[in-house]
Amino acid sequence: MKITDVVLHQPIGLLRIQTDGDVEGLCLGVDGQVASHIINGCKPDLVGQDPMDRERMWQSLVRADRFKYLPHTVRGYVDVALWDLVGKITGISVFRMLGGYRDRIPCYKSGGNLETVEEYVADALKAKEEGFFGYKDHCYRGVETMKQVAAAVREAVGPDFLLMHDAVQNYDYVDAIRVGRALQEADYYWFEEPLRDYDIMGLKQLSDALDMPIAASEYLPGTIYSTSQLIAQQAVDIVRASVPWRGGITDMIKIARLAEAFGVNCEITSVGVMNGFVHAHVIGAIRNCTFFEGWSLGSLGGEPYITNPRLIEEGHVNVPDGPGLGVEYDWGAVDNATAEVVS
Amino acid sequence: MRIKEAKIYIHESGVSKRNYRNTRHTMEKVPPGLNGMFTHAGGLRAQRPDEVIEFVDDTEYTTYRSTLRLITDGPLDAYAEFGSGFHRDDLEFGAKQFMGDIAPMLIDVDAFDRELIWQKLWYTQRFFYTGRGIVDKIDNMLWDLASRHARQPIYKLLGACRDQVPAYRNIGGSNIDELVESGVKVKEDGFKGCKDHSYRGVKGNTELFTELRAALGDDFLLMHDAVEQYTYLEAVKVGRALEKLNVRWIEEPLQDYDLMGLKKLCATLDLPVLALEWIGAIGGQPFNTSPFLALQATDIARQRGIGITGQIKQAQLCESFGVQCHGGHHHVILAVGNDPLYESAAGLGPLPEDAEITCLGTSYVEDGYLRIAYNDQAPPEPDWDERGRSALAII
Repeated sequence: MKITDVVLHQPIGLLRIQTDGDVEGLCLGVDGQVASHIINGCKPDLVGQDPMDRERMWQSLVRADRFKYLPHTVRGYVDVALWDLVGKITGISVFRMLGGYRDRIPCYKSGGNLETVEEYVADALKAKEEGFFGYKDHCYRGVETMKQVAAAVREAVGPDFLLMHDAVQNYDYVDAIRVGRALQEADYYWFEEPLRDYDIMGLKQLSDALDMPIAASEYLPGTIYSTSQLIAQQAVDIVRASVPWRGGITDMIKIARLAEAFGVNCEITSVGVMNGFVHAHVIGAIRNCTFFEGWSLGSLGGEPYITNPRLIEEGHVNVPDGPGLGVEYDWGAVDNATAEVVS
Repeated sequence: MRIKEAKIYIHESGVSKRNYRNTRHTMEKVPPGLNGMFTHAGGLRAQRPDEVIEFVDDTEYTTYRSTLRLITDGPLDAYAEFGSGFHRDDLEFGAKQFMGDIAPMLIDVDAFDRELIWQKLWYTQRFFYTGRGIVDKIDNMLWDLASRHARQPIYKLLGACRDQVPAYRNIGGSNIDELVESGVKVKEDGFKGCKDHSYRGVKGNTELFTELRAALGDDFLLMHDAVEQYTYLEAVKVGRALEKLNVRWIEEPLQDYDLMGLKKLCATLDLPVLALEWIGAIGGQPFNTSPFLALQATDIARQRGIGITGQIKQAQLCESFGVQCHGGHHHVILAVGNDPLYESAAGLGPLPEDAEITCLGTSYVEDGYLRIAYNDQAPPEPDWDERGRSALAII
């Protein structure tokens, strides 16, 4: 079987890797800004290839990142469609192609940058009542507020509910250590992105100073090659990874395996491309990720194009079965929303 | 496709004699004997007639073999040879131990949930003191099942990276002339390089490689496998000599346990240092590879991951540090980009004309390259009814 064409439905961003067989690989939700890079930058490396030669194409596209100055999300979309394709060719779901670990994943809830301490408390309590296994804030309101949030939320939710703080690079080292001590006192599960991902020495200093785990690398370019440096320096206790920001499914698995070898968790970031389908498959195939990051109960989206959206129910999301990514499409809805098929 | 039951079939397997000869030779000091380290005498001289110890027994003993079958609720089962030997009762007891300790952890697990099973069996090693063998076996069985299910060779399921890799062959001989002659033969056979297992110490091995380079030309790949015969200072000395002779790598120059010595050697030599065969063979990869990579204590890592799942983890861990990972399962080698060469086992040659090719793939070496021939045909499944009828016991 050979890849014969690569096309994109716009503006909905449905990538289709087509073959001379009766299957194709799909990735929905391609960022419109990178569409031209897929057609002009990646397509020449894909057409004519055996889709089962996925690693060869991954290696080729990693090199193309550098030589063609591709945005670092491009390879992720292509890789997802290739995994969907090989799963359909073999009749196996992607997570079981990788080697299944679980088919049901516990979820935690991510909250926003709320105004008051009371709002964080209410949001965390709601997450607990909804059946989530943990709650993560995105509080960018400075050290003193965060210290109050940590103490108040812990008091409200009790000792057994997992709490995380995501600072999104909001602190310098001096502030980060102050917040970290408060989080530690409140028994937080991790402290996420306290500093810039590039600040290896700052992250290392913080990881050494605090007993609690530091999570970083969500937005770090360089796939496995940069992640290995962070881990080898013991600059982080947890690595973060997601599709498409850190590459494709291949990148996520390699990053997770790298981290595993060092006894480090790879906590997959957020819902990711394709409305949770891709991240569910990745987490379904690895041990060293605690849970799935969601924002609310119910559908993770994709309608009307996706007719079997992933759902967060009873604190869990199920890993889709069925060949490939297991996504069912409403092709009428896709056609109706398609203004142009770029090839 | 869930695993519903495990069975082990015990069969007779013909007869065999139980003769013994000490072909493994003996252990001697590394020449000239100053470093006090012992090595395998087979790597420096021929066995003397007075060293031969032989026990001859012309009795023909019945042998037995056992076959493990993991029965699924799907159309295919996983199976593999489980054991063999002269004692049926030992095989039966081993089967019972498996049924008691391991099988319950596999029942009702999806046969494609290899990661779950690998992880579970990994920790089982520690608590049940199983060693790595059972993890290797079960993981490889499940990959074999996936291959037959998908009608694709394993390297394609892993995501093929290449269809061939250049091959080298190990050379042998009891003196330098014989080793050089062996190298010439390997080159004539089309291999891209050769590797010794010569334990002659710094002086002897420098002489050997000088002779090899002169006989085989500038472009032929040469690798030196020292198998832990040097001190750090000796390794530097021989390493410098090998650098001048454009040798591709020095393998296992020090004990694998000598993390700091290896680190210092990697920093000192331009010649790549390859390590981790021995501690990897015992077990522990990829987890005991990570500190060597983080400390830059090996330039090339040996592949001794457990099962195909473990080997992919090991190769990809190395890849993330820009480090090559050498050896391992043929299908893994073709599924990764960071194993530069295939170490050709004796006996693996061109594809026979009558080879029965299936989706499982048949490895062969031709024109100096390892390749895997395959098609989309599944191999015939064992006739389990017949095997059941002919079995001496089913556990």
